[in-house]
Amino acid sequence: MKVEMTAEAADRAKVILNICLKRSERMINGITKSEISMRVTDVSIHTVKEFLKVPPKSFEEICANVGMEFSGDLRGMIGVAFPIESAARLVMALSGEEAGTPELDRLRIETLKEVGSVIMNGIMIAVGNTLHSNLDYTFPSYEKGSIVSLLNHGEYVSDFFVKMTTICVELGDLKIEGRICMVLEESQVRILLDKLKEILS
Amino acid sequence: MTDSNRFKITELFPSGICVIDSDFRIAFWNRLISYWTGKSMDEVAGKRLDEVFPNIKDSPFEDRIKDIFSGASPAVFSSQFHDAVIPTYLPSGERRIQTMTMMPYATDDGAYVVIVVEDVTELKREVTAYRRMKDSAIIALNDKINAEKETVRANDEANVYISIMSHDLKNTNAIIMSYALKLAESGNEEIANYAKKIMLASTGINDIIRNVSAVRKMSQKSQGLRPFSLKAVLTDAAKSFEGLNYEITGEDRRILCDDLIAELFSNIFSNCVTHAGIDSKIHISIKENDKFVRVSVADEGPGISEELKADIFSRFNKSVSDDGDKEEGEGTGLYIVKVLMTRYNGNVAITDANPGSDRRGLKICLDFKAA
Repeated sequence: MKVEMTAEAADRAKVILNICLKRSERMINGITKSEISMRVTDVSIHTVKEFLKVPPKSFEEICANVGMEFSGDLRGMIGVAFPIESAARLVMALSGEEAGTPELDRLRIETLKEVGSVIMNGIMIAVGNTLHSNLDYTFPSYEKGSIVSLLNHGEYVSDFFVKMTTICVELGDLKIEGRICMVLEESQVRILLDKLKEILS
Repeated sequence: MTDSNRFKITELFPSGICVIDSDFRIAFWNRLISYWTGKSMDEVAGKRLDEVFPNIKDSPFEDRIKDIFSGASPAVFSSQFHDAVIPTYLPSGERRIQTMTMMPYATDDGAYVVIVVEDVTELKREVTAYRRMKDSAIIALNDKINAEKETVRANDEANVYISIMSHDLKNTNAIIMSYALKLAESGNEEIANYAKKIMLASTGINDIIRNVSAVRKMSQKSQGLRPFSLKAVLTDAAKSFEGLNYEITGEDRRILCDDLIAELFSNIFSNCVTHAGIDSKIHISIKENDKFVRVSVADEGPGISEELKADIFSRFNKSVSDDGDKEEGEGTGLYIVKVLMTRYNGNVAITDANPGSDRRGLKICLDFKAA
């Protein structure tokens, strides 16, 4: 049976994700004393195979990616990707750095890892709560590359699904767009979609 | 397995490792973190983390540790956002800068949080210095780009002024020359002599204007060398000197040069006229060997002394006549010839036209690349 996400389910997923992101938002604002706002604008589901066959152009852009794998009741990975310069600008704005070259050096990468891990935590809490699952995680890691190359590199190519989310981050005048990418096994995607159906009904 | 043994594998890790149980009690403390804090495992084992480090109480760290025990994913605490959760000091007394990662670790006995502490003090220093250096380099580069833009703009502006000035001077000079000609034809010998001096000076002004224009054009990037007929360019250059007496021997050849070739020969002819007089003959010969096309231009003037020959292509060189009087002239003419020959990948040299004669003359030998 084909796995499909209805428009209604996508909207519901968006609402749930945005609620979870509010928690991440509060946490980042608490740490940095800034007023960041984050929201998910769209959610879609694809098989990794299909996705890699004709990937949208923007997914081939080189990005700063923070990701981690998880196992246990669910198996897969989650990653947050921002275009490199946007990532550097975001970190600089959050850490109150005066204007300088927007470049991701090792210190800024560490900081991006913290921001990324807070975002991923928000999403994983939503997933965990929906599925009542216990998960083990790897350390959050940083990697530079396009989402396509990262998916190609992993072991998720054939029978996994990718849930792609666009995230908009605003901080003062700074407005950047990134992606949250979650790779899950088909059975888990079905459970997630069924849960969403339950919530909808 | 005891708590301590479970994590023993991290004892010699190059990062500080602290493991706490769900009561916040320290279950393991590796050697590096002992060294950094000066507290041994025996001292801290079983104590609450916030008892050993009271700064953790009511801090974001405490909340995040609680979150992790409730199933949250690992947390990273970067040095840009946080002070050290486990304060440690360098031998100098300076506080270590740390990055910290907390991750859940569940066993059959219970849940733990593994805290991995990394010392980034040196890294932060290096990155800060690198950022400062890079930003300074970018500022310097931008300054240089702006300065270059300003130079181009100033050059363009100067070129406009020079063009206007050259045009107006040429017109005024033409008027001076026409009146001087009228005076020269007045029939009064004294006035005619003065008129000839005025005409000579006027010719000198024209040379200056032409040379300034040539130098300006030389400073611009060459559009590349292309073939020119030698006889055509010699004839064109001679047209600028009314009544120039010259002869060309040898077959026409094509040489590699650019539009400034006319300036080159105009300067050589001007030099001949200044030193030998307008009525004197200029002998031009064209020969070709394996490598070059040689053009020799010889005048019938007094020539120049051996000691002055070495300096004749220098900028602002003023030639001196045999009687020792200073000649009039701006002294850039043959300098321009030298610069242009270099531009054309050729050579220039001088010699006496008639060695041993009273009027030994000057011969300028130009070797051009054949087209």
